[in-house]
Amino acid sequence: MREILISFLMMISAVVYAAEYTIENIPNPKTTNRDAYVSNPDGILSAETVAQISAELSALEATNGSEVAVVVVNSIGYEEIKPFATNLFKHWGIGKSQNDNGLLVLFVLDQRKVTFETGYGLEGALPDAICKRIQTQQMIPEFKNGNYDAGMLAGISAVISTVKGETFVTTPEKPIAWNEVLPIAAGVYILIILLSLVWVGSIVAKVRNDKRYPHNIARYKAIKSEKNAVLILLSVLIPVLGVGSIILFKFPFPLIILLFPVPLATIPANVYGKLMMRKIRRQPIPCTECGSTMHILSEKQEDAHLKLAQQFEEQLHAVDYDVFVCDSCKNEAIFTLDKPSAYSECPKCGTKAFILKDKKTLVAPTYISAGTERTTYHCKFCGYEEHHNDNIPRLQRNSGSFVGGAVAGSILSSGRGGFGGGGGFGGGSFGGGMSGGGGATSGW
Amino acid sequence: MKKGIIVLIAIAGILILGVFWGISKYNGLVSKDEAVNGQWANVENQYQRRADLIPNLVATVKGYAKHESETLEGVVAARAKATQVTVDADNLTSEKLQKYQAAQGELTSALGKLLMITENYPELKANQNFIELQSQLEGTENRITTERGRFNDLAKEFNASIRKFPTNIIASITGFDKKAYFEAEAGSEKAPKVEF
Repeated sequence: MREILISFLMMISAVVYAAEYTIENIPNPKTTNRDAYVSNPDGILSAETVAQISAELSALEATNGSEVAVVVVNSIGYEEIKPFATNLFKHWGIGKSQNDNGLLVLFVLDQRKVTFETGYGLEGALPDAICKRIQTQQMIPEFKNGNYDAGMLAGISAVISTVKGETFVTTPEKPIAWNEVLPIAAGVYILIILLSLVWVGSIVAKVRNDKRYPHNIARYKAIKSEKNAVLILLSVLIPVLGVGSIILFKFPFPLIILLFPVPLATIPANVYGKLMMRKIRRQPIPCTECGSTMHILSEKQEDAHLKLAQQFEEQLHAVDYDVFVCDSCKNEAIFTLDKPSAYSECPKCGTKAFILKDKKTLVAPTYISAGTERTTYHCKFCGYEEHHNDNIPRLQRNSGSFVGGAVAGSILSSGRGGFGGGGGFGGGSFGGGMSGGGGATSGW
Repeated sequence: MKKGIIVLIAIAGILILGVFWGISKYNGLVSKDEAVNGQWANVENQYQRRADLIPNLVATVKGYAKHESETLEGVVAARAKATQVTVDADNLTSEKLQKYQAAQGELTSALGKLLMITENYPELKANQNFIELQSQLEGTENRITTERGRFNDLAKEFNASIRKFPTNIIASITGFDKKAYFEAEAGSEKAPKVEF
């Protein structure tokens, strides 16, 4: 009975002892704690040694960014230690990706071997011969006597004193292949230019021959509003779709710059549209009296046909008048185009020259009583003035902004507090460095 | 605006987009091609590093093992032969790569023989200079293996992308050729025979 129990215990211990690690299941120290550098799943090193090594390596990373990972395991099965280290290095990405300044120290007890895998960036500071020297002089003598803690500590401090003096320059990364992106973007811009030109062209063609519009000004207005609608649609819709697809397909965010020139691509269509609008507005029309054609007069010629008030409105850029005169019967037709302006129609003379002149506070509002304000409108043509007295609401105690401030404050403070943040809890990872099989291996 | 013109412009638009797509794909292929060439340079660097270690190694061994001149000469001859065979990155045909690999393979086996005889010289094995040279040689062999593996990966990726539709159209128009791989060393496909 006793023998069975002993052999059973031995089997269990053998199973536990023979836990073989693969690259995927060796615990990455960074996933549990970003300040950890040592993977010691079998407890071969003491907790104090692990803490000390981690502290020293953390200090090293703070000096020049070098990342050293220490892996101490019982077994990796029948894998060869060196390729295993190369693959583990790549899998974890030890070292900063720009500098490849990583080092992996892999200790495998059942093979009685220790290997260093140096990242490309550390091959200068830690050539293979130096790795070998550190191993044979600092580590192997202690390992032979079973002093794994002492050997590892001595080896790591030798590594640190060698690597400490290195400096690594970091340059910003360029992840986007602009040479591939820009031709496509240029193609899309050209497509937008063509599309907008075709679209505006078809609007112009449709409106120009449409007999339902009573006169040229109506056609002008119709083209203007349709053209603007289309161009705004294109220069808003395409960037919106672009932003949507960047978010949806997880494209690199800097691609968003490519969307800014999209509205510029509608400029040719806009220019074309404006030229056509002007041309259509000035095109000859049939005479209503004799059936002959009427031609538009130039700005100078037309003044003779306009009233003084109308000329004044044109000067103010409030209204545009187009005067057409028949070639044969001298019949004249005047068309009016209201322009967007600050002027409105004067209630006395009807000229579009009525504008806000002055705003005066007669009685200032207080917290207790309302105030009065006098607004003065005036017609620039006939000089007519109109006054309005309006109430100014009583002043309010500034409760609104107080609430606003409190809300903003609470959002800010909740952003600062809580978990997450910059605390040392939660995992991280190594910096994504690469190695090329450099380093050395020693056995004992 | 007539329908015909709209259709024409639409066709022109599609053609323009196709041309720009082609330029983009072509640029992508150039980047991948350059990646393979760059990796080839890494492979050659590591072989060169090994070749550079050899004179030092031979000199060190000579000091202790004077009677092994045949083996030493074999290494020197193999090194001289291996450094003569170079392959241009733009012309990576499988024929040339095989020749290159064969020359380097001869050097590998000559080095193997040399390291084998050093086992008979305990004084040499204890020499610090020799230990470090040996570890450098070992590290270089590891580097060669790693860089060769990465070269094969990149070459495979490049070959796959020039064969996939529709990029293969661009590749055949612009004349991108398949890259050669490193094959497993001759004889390594057979399991070693263990005799007692």
